[in-house]
Amino acid sequence: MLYINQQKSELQAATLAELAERLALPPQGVALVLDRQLLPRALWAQTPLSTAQDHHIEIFQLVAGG
Amino acid sequence: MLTIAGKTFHSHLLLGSGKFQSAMQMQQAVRASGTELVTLALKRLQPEAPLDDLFSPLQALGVQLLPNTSGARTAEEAVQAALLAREAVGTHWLKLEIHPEPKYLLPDPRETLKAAEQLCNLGFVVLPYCSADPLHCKQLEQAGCAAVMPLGAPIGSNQGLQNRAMLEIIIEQANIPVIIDAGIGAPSDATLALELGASAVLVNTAIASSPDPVTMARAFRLAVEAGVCSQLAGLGRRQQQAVASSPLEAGFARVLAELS
Amino acid sequence: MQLNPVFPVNQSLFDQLQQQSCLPDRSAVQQALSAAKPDFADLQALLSPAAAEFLPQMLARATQLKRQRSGRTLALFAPLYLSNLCSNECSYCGFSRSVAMKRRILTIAEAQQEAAAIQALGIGQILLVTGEHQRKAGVDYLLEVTQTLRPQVAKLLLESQPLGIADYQQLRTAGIDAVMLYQETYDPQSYTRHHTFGAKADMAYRLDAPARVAAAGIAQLGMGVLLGLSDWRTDVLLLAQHLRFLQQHWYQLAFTVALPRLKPCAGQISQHSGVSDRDYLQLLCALKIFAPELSLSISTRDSPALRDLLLTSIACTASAGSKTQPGGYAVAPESLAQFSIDDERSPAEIAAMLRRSGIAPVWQDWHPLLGRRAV
Repeated sequence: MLYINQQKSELQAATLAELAERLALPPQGVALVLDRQLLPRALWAQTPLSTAQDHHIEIFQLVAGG
Repeated sequence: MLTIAGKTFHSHLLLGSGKFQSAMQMQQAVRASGTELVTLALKRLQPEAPLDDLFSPLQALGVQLLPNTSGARTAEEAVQAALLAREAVGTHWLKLEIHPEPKYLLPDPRETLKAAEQLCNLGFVVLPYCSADPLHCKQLEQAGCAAVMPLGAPIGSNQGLQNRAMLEIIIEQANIPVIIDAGIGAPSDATLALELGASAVLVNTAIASSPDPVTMARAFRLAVEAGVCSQLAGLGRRQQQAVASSPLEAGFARVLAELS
Repeated sequence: MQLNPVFPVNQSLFDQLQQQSCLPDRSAVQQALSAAKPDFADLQALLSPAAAEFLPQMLARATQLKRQRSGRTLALFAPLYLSNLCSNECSYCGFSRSVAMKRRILTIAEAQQEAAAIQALGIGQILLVTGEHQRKAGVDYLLEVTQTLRPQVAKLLLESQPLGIADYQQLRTAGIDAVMLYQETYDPQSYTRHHTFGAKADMAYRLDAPARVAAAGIAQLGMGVLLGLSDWRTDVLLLAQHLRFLQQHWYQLAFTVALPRLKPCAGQISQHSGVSDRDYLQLLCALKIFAPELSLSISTRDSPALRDLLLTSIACTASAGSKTQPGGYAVAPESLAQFSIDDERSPAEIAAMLRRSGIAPVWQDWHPLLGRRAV
């Protein structure tokens, strides 16, 4: 099961890159933490998501702020 | 010219990107302000309601992005936020801010210093939002921060340079840029900050919550330019009433008269 | 901190400042006297001939600043001359290597005896003084003296040849609270003329020594020039610039400034500083007005009348009952002194004078039992 920002998600994806595509993440300005580990964007394509275990994904995005 | 960590900026105004009505308005304000350094925050994405992409338009404006660690309440959280920001924004520049109390959003000096030490060691260019405490600012400088950003008054209060006496000492003692952050409510506050010798000011609320943010951004641009010019030209000095007129003790006067 | 920053002094800077030294006019002096935060231009004005007629106002202002910061107090200290061995040749000094005199270096036991004699006078702040002899009175000797005296002395100050950072760190750990380093002059030509032989001939090494003291974490630094070696207005101005420079890099540093005037001494040709009492008072007041945070320290070289004035007005520290030869207090009171003393009154007499003027003498400002930590 996938948890995105602590919410169950029905999305299915073989890799992080695929998931990013499903979520329509912008090409920049996003940071992603998979199972408590910060993963640079360059590694997303080679990072598989197993269906046999839970994955906790935290996604952060740039927003306006002072 | 404003130089931070070896990088030179023409504008001495830093702009916070929060509190604007829309991304479009924020971009217009950025343009009108002439700023080259814009702060941003990092938030968890809500998958069901994705936000506008701020990154590309700001990048198109050619400004240096300065992600902040707002929301962090401890040094540990701030370091985590910094690592995320570095990944998301692709810059190691960072506005460090740790304010654990919600009412005045005052920076926590102990946690800020702790986080600054760690982040400098990790290679970040750290610009800490900090208390207007001269000793604290020297400690942040010694920790390796690229600038210090003491507050003029509580965030968003528009009260101006309430901490003036302490800011003057901070400016006098600093060997890194002093950027007055928080509290600057009017363009005249910004001019005053620069006249006191500050290197730059960071403004957000005063511009974003103005009825006409774009015109206010322009007002700040002009005010900051005025302050920079006045710094360059050198202010005429204000005379204090001569304390020197206090009378000399009689005994001293007698000895003085006999000195060779 | 990385490499120590270097305070830049060269001949053309000195000459340029000297040319400016007599330019300020009355209005510049008046402006300087009413400035909330005097800058270097103000100091130049206060040091200029135009300020001479404002001496009463300057003294009043400097006295007010001193009392505002330190109150009506004066800290007393005494020098403990450990050695008159010296490998330098300095035109103005009675300890110069070529001067025929009996040389001695106190043993550790003798140093203890001298310290005890000083303490018996009531004085708890002791300035250890040596001639500059790296081999015989080097850091190992100074460390041994420091470690021995530390438990019994409230405050230990050191005036020796300039040392390296590692040496100063060791001395700090051993218990040295403050280091005095006199530049003598910031005028390179004069410096070279007066320091003709020995390690002291290296002006750059000496100029950099205060930064090494600071880098070693010693909390208090003494600075000074020997008035009379060059143009005093310019020397004092550069001293102030040096002080500001050090402050900018080491904000925790506390400063003591002593500005002795050239005096006749054993073995050397008769010499005079060319600095009158009025000049002297003017420059001391100018410095205090410019940097109220610094402590002015007054030695026994000055006459009793002038000392009474200085000690009750602008000075923060003064020596009293000084003997300027090794063993002078107890071990060998008859030997030759480094320079002649003008104020021969005992510490008790000085204290009585201070009390009559409403100034409290401070015999020691710290207790060894409280312990101290390196900054």
